[in-house]
Amino acid sequence: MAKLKVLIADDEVDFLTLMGTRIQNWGYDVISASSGKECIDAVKSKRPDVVVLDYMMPDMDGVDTLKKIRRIDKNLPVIMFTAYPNFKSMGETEKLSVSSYIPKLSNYTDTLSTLKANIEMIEKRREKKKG
Amino acid sequence: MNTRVIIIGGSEKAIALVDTLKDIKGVDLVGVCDVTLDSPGMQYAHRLNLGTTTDLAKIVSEKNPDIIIETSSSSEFQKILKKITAKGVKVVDSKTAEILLNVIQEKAKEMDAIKSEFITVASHELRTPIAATREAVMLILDGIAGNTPPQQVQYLQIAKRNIDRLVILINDLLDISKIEKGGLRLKIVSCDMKKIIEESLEPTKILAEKNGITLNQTFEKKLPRITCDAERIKQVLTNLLNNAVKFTPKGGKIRVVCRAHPANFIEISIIDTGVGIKKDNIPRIFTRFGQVGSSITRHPGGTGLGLVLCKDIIEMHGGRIWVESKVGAGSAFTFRLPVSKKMIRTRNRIKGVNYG
Repeated sequence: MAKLKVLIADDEVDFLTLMGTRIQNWGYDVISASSGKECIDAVKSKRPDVVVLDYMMPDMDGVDTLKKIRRIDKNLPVIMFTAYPNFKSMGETEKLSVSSYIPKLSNYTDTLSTLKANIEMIEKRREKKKG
Repeated sequence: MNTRVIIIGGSEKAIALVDTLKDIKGVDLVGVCDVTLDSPGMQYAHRLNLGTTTDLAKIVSEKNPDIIIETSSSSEFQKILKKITAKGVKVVDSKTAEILLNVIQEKAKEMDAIKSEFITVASHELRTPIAATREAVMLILDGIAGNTPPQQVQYLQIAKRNIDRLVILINDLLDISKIEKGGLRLKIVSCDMKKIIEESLEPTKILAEKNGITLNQTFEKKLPRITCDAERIKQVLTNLLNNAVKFTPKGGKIRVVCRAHPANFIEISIIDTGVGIKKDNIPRIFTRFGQVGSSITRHPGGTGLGLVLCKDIIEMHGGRIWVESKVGAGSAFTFRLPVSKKMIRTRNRIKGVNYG
């Protein structure tokens, strides 16, 4: 089966670069987007298997981006990064089926291990469906 | 210099003012005066150990107030008050005082909100570049960017160590501000203190070895299980242990002693043979930025935030923390935690905690 395609969307370019390198190192294909609009375009054109999305982006915030993604694909797994774990805002996204929320911390190690575990889980589910 | 205040009167109004004033920073309630010692206000003030008297002239000359708040216009005091006003002491009626106090408290709330927002935003702004820097270094050290010559590895490890220190600093800062705005919450569980200590000792053992310091521990045979926030207690232990290592020279010793105190406490001491703390500095040591010994020690660094946090965490558990020390001989930091959870305050509701 082809490598899992991971789309990562975040307006912080360095974050994109560093995360992207790690995700690629784990054996996945990486697609990068640095804005909400780029993210939606990439979902339409590149058909990723999972989207990793930042909660706050200048042009379109995470929730709006997520709503637009859901209009294209109801079942596409979406993982959200949050810098400010905020239960009220998470409530808004609950109806939009977010796979999980990962806090952005000063130390990427925990963020990365949680992200990896989540992506692996999504990968297993995909294999089950196709296999 | 705090504003010194005397309240005249003994009724409900006086009691309400006493309650408000006793908690305001910058104000010293130095006495309450009424025509009789038996009024409810006077009895209340007496219970709070505030100076109570029927002799207005005496208390004014003794305590030198800046402001007198009159809650009852007793004719007995009018003559004296006229004299006092002539000397420059401000006499204010209770209504005016209430209005002013409301303004002060509103302002304080505003400031708190501004401060909290600033801290949250600043922390995020600080964390983002630090996280990115750390990760960039980690990618290289993890070998993902190809082979790295040993000398470059060495410099990168220095970079990583210092970035990790920055991370701890910022986390400490955020914790302190959470405490100040009453946001720190304890997650209480039943704990095995021996296990908590051993887990905190793990990384310290490595650090101590590197610095040529012997580290050992003594546990009393029967330690009761304790209700506490294990992560926060570990934080306290790690802080105290790191300090002990920092201030103990090569060849020195650090001992961790844990015993159960008869009155349902568990007591833990971290005793070192380090440089010790000057007697004059001891009162400041648990206050913010009260880092001492920078002239004595060869190990600069740290912000002194750690011990303030430790004290707050221990006190939220209903416990106590203190230090005994002698310059040249060493220090013993001890904290006590109650076994029962009745003493625990899981949310810090103290406003305007005085860290000075």
